[in-house]
Amino acid sequence: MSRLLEPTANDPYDADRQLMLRCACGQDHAPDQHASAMALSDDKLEASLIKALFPVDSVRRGFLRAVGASTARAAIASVFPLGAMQAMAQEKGPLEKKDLKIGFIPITCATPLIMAHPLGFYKQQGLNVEVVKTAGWALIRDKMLNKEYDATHFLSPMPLAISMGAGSNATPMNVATIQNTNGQAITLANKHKDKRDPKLWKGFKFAVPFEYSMHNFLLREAGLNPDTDIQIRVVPPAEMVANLRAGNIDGYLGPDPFNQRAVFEEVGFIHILTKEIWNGHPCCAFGSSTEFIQKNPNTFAALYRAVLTASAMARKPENRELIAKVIAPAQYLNQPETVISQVLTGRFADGLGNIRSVPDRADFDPIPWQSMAVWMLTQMKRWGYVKGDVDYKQMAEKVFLLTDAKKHMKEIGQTPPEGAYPRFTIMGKVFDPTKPDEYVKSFAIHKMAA
Amino acid sequence: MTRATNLKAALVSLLILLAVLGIWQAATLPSGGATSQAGMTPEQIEYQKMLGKDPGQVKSAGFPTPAEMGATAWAHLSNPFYDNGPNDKGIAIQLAWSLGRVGLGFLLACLVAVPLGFVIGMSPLLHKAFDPFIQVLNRWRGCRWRSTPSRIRRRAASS
Repeated sequence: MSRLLEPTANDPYDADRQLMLRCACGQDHAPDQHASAMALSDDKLEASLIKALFPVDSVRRGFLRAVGASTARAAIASVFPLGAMQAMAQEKGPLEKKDLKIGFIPITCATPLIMAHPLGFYKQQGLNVEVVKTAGWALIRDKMLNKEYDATHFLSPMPLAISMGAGSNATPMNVATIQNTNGQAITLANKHKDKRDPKLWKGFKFAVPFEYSMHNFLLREAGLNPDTDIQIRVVPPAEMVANLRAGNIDGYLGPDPFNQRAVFEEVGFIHILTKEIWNGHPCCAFGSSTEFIQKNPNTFAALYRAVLTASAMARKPENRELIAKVIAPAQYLNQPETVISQVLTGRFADGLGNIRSVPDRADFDPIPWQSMAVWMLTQMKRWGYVKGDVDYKQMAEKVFLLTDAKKHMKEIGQTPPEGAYPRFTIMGKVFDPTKPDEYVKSFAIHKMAA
Repeated sequence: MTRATNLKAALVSLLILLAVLGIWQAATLPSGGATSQAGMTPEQIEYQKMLGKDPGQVKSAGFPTPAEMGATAWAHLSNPFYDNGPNDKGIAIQLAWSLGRVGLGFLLACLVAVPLGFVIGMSPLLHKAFDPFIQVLNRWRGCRWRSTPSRIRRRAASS
């Protein structure tokens, strides 16, 4: 079942991890003894069992000569659960907490952590997880702060904001994996079909799911001043379509399936997919509080494995139809199945009479690149959510658990990509994570104190 | 009130109900007729299907007709105890939780308020001391407290 590849010995210059002189796998042996220690292998177990059954070797040999090896094996297996014992021997550390509550917002961004429930990935790791639908992001934040949820679906900037104390009490939170990349869009009301140019949007009221969200940051990339040109309001995703229909907002940069649902309900059309603003942008994340992670490391590792398995399955296009079917019911996303399958497969109606085919409309790349965190921090500084000097690198590395993600990916047999600080191109502008302050200052529209 | 008037009133009530339902049904029916499928390309038909309608059908305006509402209500009421996890439970379970919460709140309030009420009734000093606060709260119809003890005392004094 498990294939624990040889973990690297502890790197004394690794800022993310404790420097332990015993093996990095956490068990109590020296790093170079890892392979032989981990060979509490099936063979060794079976040999110990036989030895216990036949302490006198001549009796054992006589028995085997009489009945033959395969009969002996079958006979012993029928009275002793050898298979289960062997599985247990290979098990990772014991889980501290098995009954967990994970919050989520019913959007396709959280597909990996939602689909892990009906598809049994949590159960596979021995966890009894309840995924609890939550009404909005502020509630998710509050329930994490008062520990009603053990782990949750976050907007990627939220753990950064909460750790820094922006908008709440400062409580250290972590991002374990990014749930999805792309998967959002700007949807406008039908009456604005002829106003596709952002310069015509003066006076519009837009909605975003939360202040500390990629949606807010990306919308502000449109080149409009959020104070004088447009109004940006916070609306929970589940209420966006109704607000659009009622005319309270002119458009929104929101998560799917609510863009596709607006098209389905014939109240709006998809103006632009966010992948056309920043292809591969992170959106939502799966994370928990640092306290939970420190108190329950094995449980957190099991959660990691479950969610990474789900992410890997979600990335494959051939699985998308099945996933759409599985997460559509009322207890998860509560959407018509065709809406979700249009989002996940990338063949969709755009609300203007055309069918578009964009297979990477939504992707589920789990790696939490730390340069993504630096970008989010620059935007928080740009819009005045965070004041004063920000140590970008330190914050990014503290909150985004890149090394852990890579380690757990290796554990379940996936190949993590190299590097930690890739560059990105957003709206044609290259973001260099080694020069965040210059990037922040390079914008004409901002709210930083002079 | 004669029996004839009662009967007529009942009939008019029924007519009002039917009129409201009728207006509701007419107002929420999908407007426009169904266009024929013949003039559509396969892509247009697929587009219509993506919008969840059979080709040519016109969507409703978002507000359900009485018929749709009745069907949904029947579906919920006929299976009130289903439990699909924390996000999807039957209506009876949800109602029980809500009523339970209200009941618990009321019980906790009673535990504080009833003893306090006894004390206020029995002690003239505390009665007068709490009076200003009660008079202010009395403005809220939900917290009405009739000054029964003072009326009882007045009657006792006058007899």
